[in-house]
Formats: sequence, structure tokens, C-alpha cells
Amino acid sequence: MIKHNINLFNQSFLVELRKLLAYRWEFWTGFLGQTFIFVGISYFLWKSIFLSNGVTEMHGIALTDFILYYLTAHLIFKTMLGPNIGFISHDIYYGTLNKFIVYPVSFQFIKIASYLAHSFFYYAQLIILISLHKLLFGNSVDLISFSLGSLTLITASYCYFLISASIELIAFWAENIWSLAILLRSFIHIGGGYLIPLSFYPEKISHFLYYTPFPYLIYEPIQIFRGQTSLEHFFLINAILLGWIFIAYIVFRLVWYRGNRQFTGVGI
Amino acid sequence: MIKVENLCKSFKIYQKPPGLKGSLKALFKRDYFYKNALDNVSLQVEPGEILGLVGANGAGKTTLVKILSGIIYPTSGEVSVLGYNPWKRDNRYRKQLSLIMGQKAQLWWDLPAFDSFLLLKEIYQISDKNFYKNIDYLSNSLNISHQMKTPVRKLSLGERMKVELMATLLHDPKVIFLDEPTIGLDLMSQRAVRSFLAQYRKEKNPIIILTSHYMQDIEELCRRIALIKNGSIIYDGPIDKIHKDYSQFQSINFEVLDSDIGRIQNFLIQKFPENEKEFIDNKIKLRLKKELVGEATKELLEHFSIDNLSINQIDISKVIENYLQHDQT
Repeated sequence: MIKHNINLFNQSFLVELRKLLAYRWEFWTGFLGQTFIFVGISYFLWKSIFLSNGVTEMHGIALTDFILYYLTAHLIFKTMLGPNIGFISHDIYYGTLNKFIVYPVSFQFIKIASYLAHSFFYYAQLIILISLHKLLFGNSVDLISFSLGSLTLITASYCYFLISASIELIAFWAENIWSLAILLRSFIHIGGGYLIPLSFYPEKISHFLYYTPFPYLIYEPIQIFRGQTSLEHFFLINAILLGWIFIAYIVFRLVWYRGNRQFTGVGI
Repeated sequence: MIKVENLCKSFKIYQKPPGLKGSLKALFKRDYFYKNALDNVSLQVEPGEILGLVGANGAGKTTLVKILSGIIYPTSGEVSVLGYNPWKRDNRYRKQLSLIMGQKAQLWWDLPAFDSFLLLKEIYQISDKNFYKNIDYLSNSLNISHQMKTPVRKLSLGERMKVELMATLLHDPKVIFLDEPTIGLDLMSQRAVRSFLAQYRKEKNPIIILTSHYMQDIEELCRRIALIKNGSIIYDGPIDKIHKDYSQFQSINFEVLDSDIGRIQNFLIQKFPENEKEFIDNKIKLRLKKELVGEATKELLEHFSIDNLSINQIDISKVIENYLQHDQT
């Protein structure tokens, strides 16, 4: 059984990987273009803020640290994000879910394997670009922080998968889930510290955000990658993420169960 | 064996009034109605049997197939396929089941078919030996072995259906649901798919439920058909019987001069008000009981200048069309 699951996982993962490599233009622009544009814009924006304020450090972050911050923020976000919006809702809208229902395997299992194929390239990019950053700036991510950060990224990714999959499953009822998916991403951008580090937020807002899963998806993994936290904090963050995974899993199962009961399989 | 008893399925469908006002109203309140897609359907299919499901669009054929394959849940009724309840989605059942929906692809569009087959091998836990044996058998039978490495999106519609068939049959299913497998195919591809299915059935003997709008598919592959109209089965029995019931009818086909078209239309409406008539330009078809054909032909020849006259048996598609239209039970 375990061997079967490993083989099934490998094949699902490889099929999605081959799919991603089928369009090389899309691959290269998505793979490298977006990262350089995002990090470049963020860096120059903060540089002008630093210059106009005449400071060398803000909220404990030096200007050169911002490169690492946004590099990890972007690649953690992309790794966690997996496929584009529609990775489940399109199956529901266009009836491809039918084939997954007929297969004698778990739908969630195949979807996670293909989800990870999307994450794979961004995680590879994270390794390469962090190594490059260390080579250029010296004071960068050490091996222990990178390992702990990677473990947290796995937990965060599964948590995000369950949250976004639950939203995608709303397609059983709603005719379009695009705006909901965008809303989720916006919450992550703002509440997860993707656009601005959470240390820049007013204390009350930042305190409130920690009651949501968003800081644990981006900001806290960034801090662990940057070596800004203790081992105890690493365990605490992962324990909280596991709690959110538990809640998200229950929601996912519930929505899947209810949605299936009114699925029409497209058309009558 | 497939056993269906008193199966009902209704769908909740929303209606939006037309125009901008209707769209604005629908933002706050929607009107729903219930459509009965299946109404008290009962049938039984024996091991090795092939049943043709025939009906107009929206009659309930696909809904029945979806329930039997476990994709959707029924509103009420009992179903047992190979002893399993399909919508419980037991893996032991799903391993023995196959479904082709002619309008929906199951293969990964951007990849060569063989890549999808490798994934299906793991999904169905097919041994290496059986996998390669089936690949050889199916690709040779369907004459598609040269297209295994071409991305599916680059294949012609006929080739795509062939690789879809391969994907469906790789795991030697015991029950096969074929929902319009020849839809959109050219005549040659339709024939190839049909003859493959006939050969496959002969060799492997699975239960097959076939829906198709092409009567030739049904006629060549099925001995038994079930006619569905508005969610109810109005005929379930041998295809020969339904044909025989209608063999008392014949059709007179002929052509008239363009100048006579109006006159002959009036003549036929007055003389044969109850009989089915078809007018395409100057080509006319009149359906009559066998014993009336001689008299009618004589009258037509007396009153009009008739060309290309022939008398034919009603073909099966017409028989079924009539059956569905007139709801004879």
C-alpha cells in the first residue's frame, strides 16, 4: 500500500511537472521574471524611503536586508501558492472532476501531488537565489535556519493548500470563485507580511493578525529563514500551523462532502 | 450485474429573468425550479450484456450514467452495480469501472497519451506485465500505436477518442459506461470505434451501457435498447422487436416538378392527414401502413408527374424517433 501511494504520488507529481515544462515561455517568465521584478521594485521603493528619511535601519531591518526579506517573501509565497486559481474549481465547472471521482484513489491525494509539482520549481529557485545572496552579501541565511525555514514552509504550504482548496470547492455552489480566491491572496499579501513586514504595522493590528493564519504562512517562515527566531519559537509557530491545518482540514472535508451531494457533473 | 429500482433524480435549477433588471434582481433573489431528470427508472443489465440507452438531449441518459458511475447522488431509489452502491465510491467498485464521456477528455491535454497512461497504471495498480500487454493490444486494435508520443492536443478528434478509449480500458474494467463515444467523429472514425468496441466486447465480455445519438452505433452494437423520454423509460427490450412493431409501415419516396410542390402538399394533407410527411424542396417522403402503399402510389402517379419513386422500409433511427415522439408504451 505504501509502495503504491509512493508510486502514485510520483506519477501525479511527474505528470504535473511535465505539464509545466510543456510551455517554455510561460515557464521562464513565471519562473524568473516575476521574482526579479518583485524584488527589484520592492528594493528601490524602500531605498527611496530610506534616503528620504536619512536612516540606515527601520524597525531593525537594514536596507540590504530588504533584498533577502522580499526574496524569501516572494519565493515562500510562490512555493506555497502552488497552481493558479482554478486548480479545483475548473474541474468542477468543466466536469473534469468526473474522472477524479471515478478513479479509485483520493482526489485530495492527486491534487496535493500536482500542487507540489508547482511548488517544486519555486523551492528550487529559493535554494538557488538564497545561495546567490549568501555569495554576494555574506551575512545571509545559514544552513540550520534554511532547514528549519524549509520545514515550516512545508507545514505552511499544506495549511494554505487546505484553505485555498476549500475556497475552490465553493465552486460547487458559486458560479465564479475568482473574487474569493483573490480576496484570500490579498489577505495574505497584507496580513501575511508579503508587501510590508508586520513589524511596521501598529501594534494593535499586528496583534490582531496573529489570531488569523496569515502571519504564520509568510511572515513567520521568513523570520525563521532569516534566523531571527529561536528554536522554541520555531516549534511554537509549527504547532500553531498544525492547529490551523486541523481546522482547515475539517472545513475542507465538510465542503467536499456537502458539495459532492449537489454536484451535477456538468449538464443534465 | 446492474440493478436499478425506482431511481429518481431531480435537479434544482435557477432561472434569471432577461435584461438588466433581471440581472440586478438576481443579485438579491433567485428563482429556482426543480427538473426531474429521472423519474422512477428501473432496469436490469445482465453480465456480458450491452444495453443501448437512447433518448433526446436532456432525456436523462447521461444523468443515469453519472449515477451508475457514482459521480452524482440520486434523489431516491436503489442501485446496485456488481453488488456495490455506486455513490458510496468504494475503491473495489471503482477499480472495475470505466467511463467515457465523449464530450469530456480524461487525458491530460498538454502531454502525450502515454504519460497519462503511466499515471493511470498507478491509479489502477496495473502490473507492468498487464500494462504493457494491454497497451500493445489496445494500440494495435485501434491502430494508434504511432501516436503514443504526440501531445493529446495535437491529435485529431478521431485519434483523441481512440487514446481516450485506451485510457478507459487499460485496467480491464468489468463495467463500461460509454456516453456518446462517437460524438463529433467523422464516418470513418465512427466505424473504427464501433468495430473496435464490437471486437473488445466479444473478447472481454464486460457489461456495457452505451448512449449515442448515432443510431448506427446502437444498431451495430446493441441487441437490447432502453428508450428514455423525459426521465422515464418508455421501452426496454430487444431492438428487433421495436423494429418489427414498425415493419408494418413503409415509406414512399419520390420527386415532383417544382411547379407541383404546392399542389401536392395540399393533396397529401387532404388525402393522408394522419400520416407523417416530409418535404425537402421537391423531394417528398410519405409514411404509410403497408396495405395502403399500393393504392397511394397509384393515386400519386395518376395525379402528378412523379420521378425517382421508391418504396422503402422505415429505418431504425426513424422507428425510434417515432417511438419517442408518439410515446408508445
